[in-house]
Amino acid sequence: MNILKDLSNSMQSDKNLRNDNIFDSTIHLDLECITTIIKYYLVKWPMGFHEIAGIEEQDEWTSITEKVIILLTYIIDRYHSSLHSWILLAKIYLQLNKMDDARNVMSKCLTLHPRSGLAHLYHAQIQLGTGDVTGVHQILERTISEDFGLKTHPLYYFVKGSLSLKEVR
Amino acid sequence: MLDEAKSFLVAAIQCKEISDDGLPGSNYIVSLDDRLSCYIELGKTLLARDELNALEKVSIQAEKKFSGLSKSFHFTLFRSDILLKSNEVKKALHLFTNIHHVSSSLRELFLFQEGKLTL
Repeated sequence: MNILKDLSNSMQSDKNLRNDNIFDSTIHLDLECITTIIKYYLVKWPMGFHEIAGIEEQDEWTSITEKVIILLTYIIDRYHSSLHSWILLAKIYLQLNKMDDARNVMSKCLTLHPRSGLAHLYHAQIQLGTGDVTGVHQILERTISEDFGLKTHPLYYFVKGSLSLKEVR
Repeated sequence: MLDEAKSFLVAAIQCKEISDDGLPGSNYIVSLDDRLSCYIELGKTLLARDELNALEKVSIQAEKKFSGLSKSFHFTLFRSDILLKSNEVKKALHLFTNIHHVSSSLRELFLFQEGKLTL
């Protein structure tokens, strides 16, 4: 939780962010750090916590989520090649159940990174919710053809397992 | 297919990114929601395979791991399903009605479904 408050405070106090001119001089140094913080946000933030938390926590959750989205969008606008930022943004939308936004982000990401197995894998995860079992199988095949090593990725196992379960139903 | 689902989902939760806390630093982006979803999908698979002992173990483990999260009510529901399968309806209902995340309409639906029994 503290790391999120730190993130929130630092973003609020960053005059450059307020002036929509963020990190021009420091982005090269901070990009990795920012990505780590955002990853930490995804990994640690109690998903669904806002549904049972008090108003203050809900506000904090909404506020931090909005800021993380702004930050990622900013990074992506300036640094199209930042593959992990595209994926992180898509996953945040997925977590928020904003499926159209998640698909839109992944679609742009795949246009820029068509040979990235990782991008295809996260695309498969997003498409899992559509119920298009054949389509997801095809995306997974593409994932492996681009990067065979992803066969041991935890989300590859997860998508394959979920697909098998869907096929039974 | 259920065998395949089980083996993939067990493999997923055995990955350290999912079994531990998926700390940043690795190249894998595995969110808390992903980790929770793996356990839910495994629970559904075990229920479909009627592996109730394994389901109970996984549910208890996941309830602890994801305690406080709204989606963790799935694991309580699995335990409720196990009790229902053993005809322990009252215990199942007690467990179910104590899930504070579950909306009253869902509770009513459950009561309606089980309404043939004296409650």
